[in-house]
Amino acid sequence: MVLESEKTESIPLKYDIFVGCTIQNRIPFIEKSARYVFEKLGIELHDNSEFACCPDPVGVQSTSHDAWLTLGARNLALAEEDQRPIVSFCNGCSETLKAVRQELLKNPEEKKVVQVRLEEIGRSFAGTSEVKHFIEVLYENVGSDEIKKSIVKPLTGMKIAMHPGCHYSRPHELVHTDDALYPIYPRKVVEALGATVVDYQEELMCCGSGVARVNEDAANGMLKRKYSSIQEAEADFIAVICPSCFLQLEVGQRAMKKAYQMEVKIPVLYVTELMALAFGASMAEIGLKFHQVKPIKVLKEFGFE
Amino acid sequence: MEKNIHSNPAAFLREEFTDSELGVSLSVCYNCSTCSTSCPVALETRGKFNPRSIIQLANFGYEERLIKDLSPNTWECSMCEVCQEVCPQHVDLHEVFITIKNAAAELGNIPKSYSSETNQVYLHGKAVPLQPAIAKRRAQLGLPISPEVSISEIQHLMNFTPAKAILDQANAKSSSQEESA
Repeated sequence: MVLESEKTESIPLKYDIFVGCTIQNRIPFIEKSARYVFEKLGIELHDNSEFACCPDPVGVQSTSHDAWLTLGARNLALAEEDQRPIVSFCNGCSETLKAVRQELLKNPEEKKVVQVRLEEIGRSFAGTSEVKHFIEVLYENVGSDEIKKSIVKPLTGMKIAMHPGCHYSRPHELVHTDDALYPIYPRKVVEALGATVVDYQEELMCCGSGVARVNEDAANGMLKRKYSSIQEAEADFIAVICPSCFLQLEVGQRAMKKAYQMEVKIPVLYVTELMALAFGASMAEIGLKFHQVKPIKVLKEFGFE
Repeated sequence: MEKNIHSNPAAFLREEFTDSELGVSLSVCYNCSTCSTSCPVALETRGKFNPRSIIQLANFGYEERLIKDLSPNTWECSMCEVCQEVCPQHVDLHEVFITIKNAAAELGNIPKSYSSETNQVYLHGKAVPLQPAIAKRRAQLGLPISPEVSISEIQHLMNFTPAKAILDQANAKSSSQEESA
């Protein structure tokens, strides 16, 4: 783990952007902010139109690990054709693509099986394309100093509750980044923007997106703990780096009213949205009006337009 | 190259839990319960779901109970992966749970929320397919068109895996339920 000197690697100039199904086809305004920020930082993102579902480390992997491994290998093969590393804007996609690559590189027998399948569709996996979560690129490759150079409107006075989400840093032996239980890179990136990241008791608490599929009461209970703790810390916003967490933490606010008559109204912002605002984007430009929990009024209080 | 569903998923699971690397990982559990005390779902269900009990049942040959009766129900795991990180014995709980769920799915014991997502991937290549309203929103935002992937490639690959038979079973089950309703 890198703590002392954060910028440890030079910036590869070009990445294949792995947008992921949820951002691409449900909350595309997140993609807008992501592209905006990377362009400002001078990092070229290349679109490969053949990228399919990563596939989801929860839904598809739980159904069939074999299907998950094979489809993941196809996406990696596509990036290899482009000769580029992948940057992912989703905790789930980055976990899957990192884990599939590692599993195939470590297990020649499995690799052989998958390779024969890929050959049937005219593709091939070698394992040459590295996979990064966008937070890793920002923290390790770009670094706070570079980020600060692009800021035109610092987020001074803004109190942020950071929710890194589970699959960003766990299982550590698959994703190999940050600290598994107390991740700090997302926090450092938000702090570089001038915001104050508040401590709150339930930062580690899962958003419950996984269990909500089967046991909604359990998911609501987890959210209640999370929101209560964020309210206690008096945060203005919740910041996330995963689209599943984003949706769960937005939609969950309405569920609290129904389940517990609990009032929760804390806008959820993606880290790339916070960055785009600090880099000078207007709220309209990055589609903030499409949020379910409207952030515009609170952002106006902080002087954003 | 082709893997179909196992004729006896419980027997397959027994093999996985004894004669493999995973079995070695399982066998070192000393029942300390650190996993269960860190599990958010255990907290919310007052221990009705808890990882330690699943590991114990896996260790002592209760495969049928795990995948047939779903008691406890491994699908209730939120996959937050905290148990995996805190286990002092480094038991691979992540892989144990995936293996159990895969075997349950082969038996037809898969929640609809899971099979329908995998089915979307089979049909569209994406877990979340594009809707016209989102295509319009993307254009408004000046984003590139959300591309359609080569479905034939996706289906060809998935047909090599147990996913195809699992989805066929799940789809047959849901259409027979619709008929009886």
